[in-house]
Amino acid sequence: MSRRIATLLGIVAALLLLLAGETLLFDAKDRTTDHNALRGLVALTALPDLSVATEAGFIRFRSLSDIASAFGESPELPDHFRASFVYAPAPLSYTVPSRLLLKASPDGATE
Amino acid sequence: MKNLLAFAIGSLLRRGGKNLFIFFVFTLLVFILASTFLISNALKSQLLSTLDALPPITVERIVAGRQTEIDTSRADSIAEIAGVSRAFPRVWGFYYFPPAGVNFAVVGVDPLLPSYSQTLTTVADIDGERLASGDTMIVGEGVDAILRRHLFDGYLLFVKPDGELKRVDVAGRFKGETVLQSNDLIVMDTGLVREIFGLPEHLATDIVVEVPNPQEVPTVARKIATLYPDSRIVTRRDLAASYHALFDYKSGLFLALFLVGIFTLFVILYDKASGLSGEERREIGILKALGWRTGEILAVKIYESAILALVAYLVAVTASIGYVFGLQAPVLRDLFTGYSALRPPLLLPFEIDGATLALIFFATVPLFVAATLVPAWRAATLEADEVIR
Repeated sequence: MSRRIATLLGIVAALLLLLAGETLLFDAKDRTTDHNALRGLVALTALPDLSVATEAGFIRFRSLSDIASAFGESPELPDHFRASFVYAPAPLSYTVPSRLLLKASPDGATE
Repeated sequence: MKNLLAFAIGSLLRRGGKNLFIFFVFTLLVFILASTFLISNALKSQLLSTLDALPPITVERIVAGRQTEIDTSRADSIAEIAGVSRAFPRVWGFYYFPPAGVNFAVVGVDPLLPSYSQTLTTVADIDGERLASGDTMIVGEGVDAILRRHLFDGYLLFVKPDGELKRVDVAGRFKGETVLQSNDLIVMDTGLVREIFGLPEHLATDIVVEVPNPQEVPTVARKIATLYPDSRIVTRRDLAASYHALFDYKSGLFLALFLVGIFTLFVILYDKASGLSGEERREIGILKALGWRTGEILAVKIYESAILALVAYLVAVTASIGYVFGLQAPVLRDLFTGYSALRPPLLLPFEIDGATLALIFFATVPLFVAATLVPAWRAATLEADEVIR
């Protein structure tokens, strides 16, 4: 095998090893995290969504927000937060009642 | 094959400058795509992992298209529906803290509930004595930091609707593991929340309905809708749909990012597909004159671009995993965390979606290889003297 091929294979193998190594490292770090705490918190508050963008209620609890929330700031300025360019409006904010239930079956026999 | 591969590597090294540039751009493109996907997948998995801890049905009242307070007596009527084990009114809302310009999410809980005392110790570090001492609250890390920064060390003076001040002491902090969902939270006794928000006893923010049998949720939801036509019913399935649609890739900043990425790829492919340079054509001509077959020349070109794309892809994916989960995605995380001063550290759960990485691979590497193939085939099928001349 020529030296060039050996070098190339060496680089690829090193990259694969690095990838596997960091995957194992982050996975091991993640296993030490107490995931029950998060579930406990959600069970305690019974509220959905992440607190990563908190500038307005319709972004913070977007899954529970209604269509008018976004217009609360000003009628002609529906949506001007940077985060709202990233976070899509909740699909259920346009529906009364649950859109999924109505879509599933008009007679309501099954979910 | 070995010789062809060695020749391809040599050929890559001979045109080092140009190939290095293509390698860099290709790596950057895959890196940005992979990092964005990794962050959003991790956030989504964090949300979905807590989905079954959420109530099966939440009932809100809508007046003039806007959510408003709901009468607590409705909870009693809802609790009588067959299949409902419990329905209780809930009080929560936002408290604007002017010195920092941030919103706190204030949530009322009933300390008499058995679930309260059980879960409280698992989710927060509590000062038991202080908790029992009267008006206290449990706050998220972000709230705690903001309060300290504004000299409210261990307490907050809430301004009630009538202008009076209400002092509430901090009796505990939510654990660091919960920061993605608890950063802006203040949890306290429901009565205290009512006092701070000036909400009378007969009103609540919404009603949480517990239905033990998941099969019965649609029927119960329909019955509630019939009973109170002005209510909006949010089921767990709706929340799941909302979580899945969390990031709208079709719009805004994501589109901008993808456009930049796709445009860059297009430039690379155009550069490759617009034809080989005179030097490369001459090289092919000489190889043909030396007796190389068309297939062998094509194989060398495929090896060249495949080596470049594969190594670039590996470097990009390795770097993006380290960047997102090791460095917590500096710069890119700002897209996801909003611009409020109340921002949590992005402690992402480790989650790698193989399908997404495969999608990025198949959308970039084979395309790149294919784009270099056509001009190489054109040149390789010409007669040697024609190419050299």
